[in-house]
Amino acid sequence: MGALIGIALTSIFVQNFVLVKFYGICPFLGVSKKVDTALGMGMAVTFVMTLASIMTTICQKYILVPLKIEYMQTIAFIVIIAALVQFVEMFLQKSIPSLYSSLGIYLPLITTNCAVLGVALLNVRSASVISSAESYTLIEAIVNGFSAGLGFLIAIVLFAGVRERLESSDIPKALQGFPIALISASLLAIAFLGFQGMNF
Amino acid sequence: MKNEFIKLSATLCAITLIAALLLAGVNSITEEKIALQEEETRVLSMEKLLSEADSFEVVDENVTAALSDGGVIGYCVNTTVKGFGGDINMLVGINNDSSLAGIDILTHSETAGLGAKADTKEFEESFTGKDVVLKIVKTKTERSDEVQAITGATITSSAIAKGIEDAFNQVQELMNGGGK
Amino acid sequence: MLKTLKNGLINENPTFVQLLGMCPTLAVTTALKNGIGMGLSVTFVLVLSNMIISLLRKVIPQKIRIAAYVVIIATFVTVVDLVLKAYIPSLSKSLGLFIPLIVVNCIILARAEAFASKNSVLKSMMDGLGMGLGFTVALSIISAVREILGNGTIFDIPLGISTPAIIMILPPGGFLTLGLILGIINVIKARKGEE
Repeated sequence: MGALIGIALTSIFVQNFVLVKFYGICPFLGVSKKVDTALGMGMAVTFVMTLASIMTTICQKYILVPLKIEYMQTIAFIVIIAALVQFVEMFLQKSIPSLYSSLGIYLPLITTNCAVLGVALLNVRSASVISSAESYTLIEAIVNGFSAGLGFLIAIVLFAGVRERLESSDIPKALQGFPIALISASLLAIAFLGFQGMNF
Repeated sequence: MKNEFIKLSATLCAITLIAALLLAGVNSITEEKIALQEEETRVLSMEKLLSEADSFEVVDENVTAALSDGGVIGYCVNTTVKGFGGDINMLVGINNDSSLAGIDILTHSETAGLGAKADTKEFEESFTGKDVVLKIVKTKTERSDEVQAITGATITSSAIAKGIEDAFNQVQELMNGGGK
Repeated sequence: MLKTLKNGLINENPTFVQLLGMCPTLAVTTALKNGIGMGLSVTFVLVLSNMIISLLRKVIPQKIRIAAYVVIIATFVTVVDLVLKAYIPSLSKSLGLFIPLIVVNCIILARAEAFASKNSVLKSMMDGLGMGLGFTVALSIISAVREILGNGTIFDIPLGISTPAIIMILPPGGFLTLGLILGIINVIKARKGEE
């Protein structure tokens, strides 16, 4: 249990996917103008990342490795993620329309979010802390996927909060828009540097 | 509708099949080279650490004995310790007289510009000839039981010192246990 | 032909103008050689995927085009990944996961969809080359700035800067450098507009 909490805290804070590892920068910059939309995007990403972690880990352990076709990893994973996103979209649309209407528009964007493929690849490349296997066990992968998504959610919501305030601030003309957003992100990243060196 | 579905699936299958065949081809060319590359870097760094050895013999999962004219002159131990940013994987060379032949950092995820400096020649060489139980100090030192820390990365330096101790203990255990 | 090339390099520079493919732009630009290595890998994938997609643009049905593009792109990315691992292991080690992640680099999918699926093979390859080089140049500028200021070296050669600002090669420095470069570009654009 302790090991799992360690993985979770590391993925959320110490190795925050966005601000420390630079995965998923595109949606981080693209859909962070308002806190509401950032929250929606963050939740959609967390959901897909958890599911993707399950599917890709199973695919790696029971298909790619036994067949010795690990070189198909990148293709297999991206196809799984794309299909998964499509299924989630269809499922939500039919069964939980209320959730679909709030998350729906972000779903297609998630396929090309490198945080999702990133976490899938990391899961099968990190050494397990529970058993002595070379890659994360399924449970570790699920925890890692979920908490990496949560890390994304926290980062993008914090950032959106800052950007909402920037809207009404007096900013030099040359820095308006993206430049000041990036500089704010830089300050946020400095804050997350404070978690560096914590070992769980 | 049904016909279209079949046609679409068939096209996609064909593309994926061609992709898979192409990759299988590339993989068969590079596979050997990649394995060779890994083996080469491992042997190369062992040779660097214990340059007098003429052959190596695997003793244990992590321990390799260095031989010269058939006699053991030292050991190379592959060990992993927790550093500042994550695991540090390193190779420790230990001479027969329990002095340090040297270290080689293989992989790490330490902070760039600070802890990452552990993976430089200067820092690695500062361990050569030292004792296996080391104290990390912040000033320049000539003593054989001390080593100077990387500026701003004391945790990384201490972790490496701990890794050396671990490696030495592994060798001791092996020798006392008479190679289980 | 040359116009397509220049378009990618300057007018529609993928990084500085279109702000595409931000993840590798910020993540691997801690040293100039990594920036160039990443840029060239992306260029290679872009040229070849643009070529194949343009060749097949009449064969691939409209409905499954994105899926087909992704598979084609992923194939070339895997080729780059394997080749780098076999022949330039040090580069492969320092770029790490960002090599397979080229698959989801929006530049490549965007060019496939916006250009290669509508233009001739040669033109598409030129477009890929222009965009790829534009990306490489942008990455080189960012990584040169960060390596000089943050590590006091260029191409690993020390420049004699005694205390480099380490923050520049840490994650915050990535955001900061790109933000300031975009700011400078805005100033230059504004000056040109005034003249």
